[in-house]
Amino acid sequence: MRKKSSFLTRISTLVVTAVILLSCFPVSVSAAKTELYIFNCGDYIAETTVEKFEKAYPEYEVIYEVFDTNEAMYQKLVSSNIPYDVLIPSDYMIERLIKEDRLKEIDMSKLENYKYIGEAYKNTRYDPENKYSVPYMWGTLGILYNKERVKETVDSWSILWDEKYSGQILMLDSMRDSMAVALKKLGYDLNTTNKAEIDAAAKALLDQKPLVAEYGVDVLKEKMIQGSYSFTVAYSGDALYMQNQNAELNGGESVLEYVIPKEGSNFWIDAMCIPKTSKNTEGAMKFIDFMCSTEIAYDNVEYIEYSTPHTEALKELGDEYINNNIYNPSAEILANCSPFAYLEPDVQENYNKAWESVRLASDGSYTKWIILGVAVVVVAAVVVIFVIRKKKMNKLKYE
Amino acid sequence: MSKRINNALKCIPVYLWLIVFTVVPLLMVFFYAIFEVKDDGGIRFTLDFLKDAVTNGQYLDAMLRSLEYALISTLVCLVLGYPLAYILAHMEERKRNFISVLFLLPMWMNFLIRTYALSSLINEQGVITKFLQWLGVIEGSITGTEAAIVIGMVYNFLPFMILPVYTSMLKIDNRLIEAARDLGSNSFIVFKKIILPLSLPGVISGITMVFVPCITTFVIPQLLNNKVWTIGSLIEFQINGNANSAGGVNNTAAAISFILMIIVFICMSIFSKFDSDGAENGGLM
Repeated sequence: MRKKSSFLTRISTLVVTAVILLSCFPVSVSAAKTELYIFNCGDYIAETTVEKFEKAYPEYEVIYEVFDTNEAMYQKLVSSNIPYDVLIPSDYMIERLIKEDRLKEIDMSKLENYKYIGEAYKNTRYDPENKYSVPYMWGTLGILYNKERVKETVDSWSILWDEKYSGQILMLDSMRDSMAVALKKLGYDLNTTNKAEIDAAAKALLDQKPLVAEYGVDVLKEKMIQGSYSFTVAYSGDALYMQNQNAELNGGESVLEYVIPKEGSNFWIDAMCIPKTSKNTEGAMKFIDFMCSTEIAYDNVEYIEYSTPHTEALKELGDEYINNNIYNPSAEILANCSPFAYLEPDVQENYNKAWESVRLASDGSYTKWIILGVAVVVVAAVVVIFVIRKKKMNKLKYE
Repeated sequence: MSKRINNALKCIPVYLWLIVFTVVPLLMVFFYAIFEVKDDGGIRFTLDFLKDAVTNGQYLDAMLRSLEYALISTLVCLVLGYPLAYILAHMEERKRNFISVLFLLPMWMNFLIRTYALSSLINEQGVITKFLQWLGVIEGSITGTEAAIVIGMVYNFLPFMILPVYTSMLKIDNRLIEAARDLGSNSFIVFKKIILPLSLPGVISGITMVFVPCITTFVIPQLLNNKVWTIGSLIEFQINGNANSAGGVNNTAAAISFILMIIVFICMSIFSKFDSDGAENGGLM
């Protein structure tokens, strides 16, 4: 019996070791379908789109991965060896990827549906010659407020610093967006590289912190929909979503109103691009073209509800959307808004430090000193007890 | 000889696992805490990151804050968990098994989902909040307060306190208690001289299993009270939110983690001191 079990363990050990060793080497599996790696933000595509693509192009097998933030996307793109074929990052990240030579040029003349992309979303600061990216969605950053709680007119970022709304303000837990709010409030460029201006913005956010109820991204939506707070900073797409949900809750009219403050704000574009890691560029081109077809662009925009750069899809959405000031703000308002720029590492570091100082600041509670005191007392007590015990033990031994 | 080879072979997967997933990552944290890798691939030795992690007042604040939450949560878990484990251990077997499954049940669910569920109970629309508001105990919501973080930690980690204590109590030989009673001890003496010393190893491992995850968790504070960062949130921001940390490598995060590990190590060695004392004590008697 004993022998048998030891034989069994030996065999199983060998098998386990072999499996571990073998898994260290890449095993090539021949597949009939070519793999196409798509890397997109979470919940940022219609649920049917990938299925429809695989039906239209049965030769490709889509491997769809999602990321939370552009930064996380960048980390994975750079550090993993997954051969991503299509990425959908934001403007400033595309600027960075272009600067670092990580994107392939796209021949727009080969994209049949590129003609549907509106001119307003081309020749942008991140891709001035339209060589690397195809716009997917766009939007603005603004204030969403509750009309029932706020009776005055909201047209400036400075209302988020008004003490009478203490505890009713929600802020985005996102460095660039919150810094942009403070910079714009102070009248600076939201891409400033001036350290004094960055520090001033951090100071402003610190002053504001006691009034802020919570920092968050997705968790804020439900709170505004339920009507428990007065203000939140929001992306236009989310603002529209919250408005609709709130209208549903109230059975008709929404009490939430969206405004792009007069000081200006951020106007962002997320776009599709092909990283140099791509091994299936042909498939990537087909996918991007497919995403630009009117049917699919409409599917996606209907699901995501962000503003679309696709002229035909916008027409299909109808007047309700075309005349909506959240969904399709006027050219004058947009002219006052600027996209985020990629920041050089040392400037980025200043922004990081500024944001850190805001988020780490607490209202000077003294409990930490109590904790520290208790900890010191406990350590001292343990040492004392230990020494006494040892002496006792030694005594016992000698006796 | 063949037995030794056999034993060594058996251990290969374990060693491999430990090296790949424990030793190497720890060394990497240490490496990045004291070496800066430059863009051209060069390596520079520097103590700046460690110095920054220790001298930055806000980082220290965050560390103390996390320590505070973790200590309070561990204490609450102990106060709630110890009597619960005691009661559980003294129930009749069928009832005991059923109730211990009830305690285990939430652990079968993912911890993130559990925290989301908790947050929907204690946010401004939550049932518990509404009830407490009706009673007049609180005014606003529970989420967004420091208590919410402690509640979240206790809710998530209480089973980790109850289970080891409960198992160590089950192991106590009932004859010891009977003997003590025969010799005229009252229940307080029985508890002090028998139950407490013999359940101490369970308490120590319970404290370890609650305290260490509490100190570094960032999901619970972020979901329940995201006003002030804890040390976990700071490290998470350094790695995920910071566009400068190429390839998931961030020296500041490594340095902070390193300091944090030292603190946790000190705390653990204090706890284990209690444990070995208890064992000696028991041995003497």
